[in-house]
Amino acid sequence: MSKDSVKLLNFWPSMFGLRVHYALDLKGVSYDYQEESLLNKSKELLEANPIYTKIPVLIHNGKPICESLVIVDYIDIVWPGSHKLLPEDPYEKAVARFWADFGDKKLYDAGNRLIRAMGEEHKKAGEDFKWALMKIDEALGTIAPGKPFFGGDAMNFADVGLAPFICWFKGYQKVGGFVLPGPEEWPNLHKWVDAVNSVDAIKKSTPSPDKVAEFAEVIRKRVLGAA
Amino acid sequence: MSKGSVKVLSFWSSMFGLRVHYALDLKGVSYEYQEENLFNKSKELLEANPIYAKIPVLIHNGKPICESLIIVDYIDSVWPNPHKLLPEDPYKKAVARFWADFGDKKVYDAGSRLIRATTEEERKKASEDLKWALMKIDEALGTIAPRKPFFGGDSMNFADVALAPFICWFKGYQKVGGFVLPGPEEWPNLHKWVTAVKSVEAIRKSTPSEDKVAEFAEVIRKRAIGSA
Repeated sequence: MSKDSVKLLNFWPSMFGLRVHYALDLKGVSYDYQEESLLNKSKELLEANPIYTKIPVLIHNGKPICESLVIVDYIDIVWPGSHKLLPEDPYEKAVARFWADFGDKKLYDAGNRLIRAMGEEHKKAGEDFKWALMKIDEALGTIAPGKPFFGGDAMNFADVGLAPFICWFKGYQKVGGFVLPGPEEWPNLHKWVDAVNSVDAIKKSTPSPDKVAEFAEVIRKRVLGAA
Repeated sequence: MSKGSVKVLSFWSSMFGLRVHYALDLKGVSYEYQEENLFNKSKELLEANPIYAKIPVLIHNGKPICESLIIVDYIDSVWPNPHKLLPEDPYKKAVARFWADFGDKKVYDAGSRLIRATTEEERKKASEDLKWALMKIDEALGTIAPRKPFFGGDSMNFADVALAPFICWFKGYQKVGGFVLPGPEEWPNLHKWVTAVKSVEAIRKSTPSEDKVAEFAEVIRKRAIGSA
């Protein structure tokens, strides 16, 4: 591995930051890690990401790259060698990008509303969240039938885009007051979760679901308190 | 040029659809166009995009590709030449992707809120946000491609293709949102960029008239106020 300087600015429960961890760890890239306090952002973060002032930011040889899926794409190009994340075939690549993006548009969106919404909107967020996971279960069955990952036998761009939400399932269920369907209903999703959780590189940076659930409840209490 | 059957399902005023037109037209790819009625979506659209039921969709040799930036990325992979849209250099590629995505997160978001605002407070905030976003684009052009007309330098790249479709909506944003676009003295790079984009023949091919878009924006606005 080259003597690049690679640094990740992040916040420990962020699923977006986790995407970057997963990409770097799957490829065995060494990097520095800097935990950011979101209520007291470092000068480095504000200078690296002046447009959004958000984590994650990857700083590679002094140059900042922002937006988690743009970062993962960048990582895959710079370190293609071991564990290529984007398929070579243009159509398969587009499908992988679609499902990674689905994580933002449907999973994150519903999850965020589960934490911050009230009343009817909160109930709808739970239904939307379950719908999104159901679609992922269906997609796994269509795209990679009989295989554990979207990428087949190994995680690809879609898997890295979606896997970070797994450690948030416990938290979402707690604040949403629902239980996710089991493997009889969603066999593919559950097989996928087990497969992801068994990958060493994934275990390396994934926060404990209990800690994430605690964190989710803290935010929810704050939201309810301010209501 | 064509590698099989290429079909675009879109709606004439959609800036997302326009991204697909621009990418295909810059590369000289022949394609079929199907205008969708968003109140009566075709069976083909619903089958091609069951997750979102939205346009644009590109159907290439029977296979559907959805989400405008993913479609543009796909087009650039399948038809790399002429007119490659994504830079080869990984960092420049990341910068181009960032600004394309900025179009969704900041320009579309503010513009959409501007048109649909039901209170003066909402309208004012959306107008300020849109102004901020366009100011950032003006600054970015100066930093990324100083003294060049496009993000891509002398020709349009992935970022240009993603942001250019908003140009034909400026009149609509101004008309219905009361948004006033600062002039070239304030935003020299943005105005040079707008002029450069409008002079590209491939862009003129599919860009709808700004007046028609402004009319359409007023229709959306009336509907938004009506249902408020």
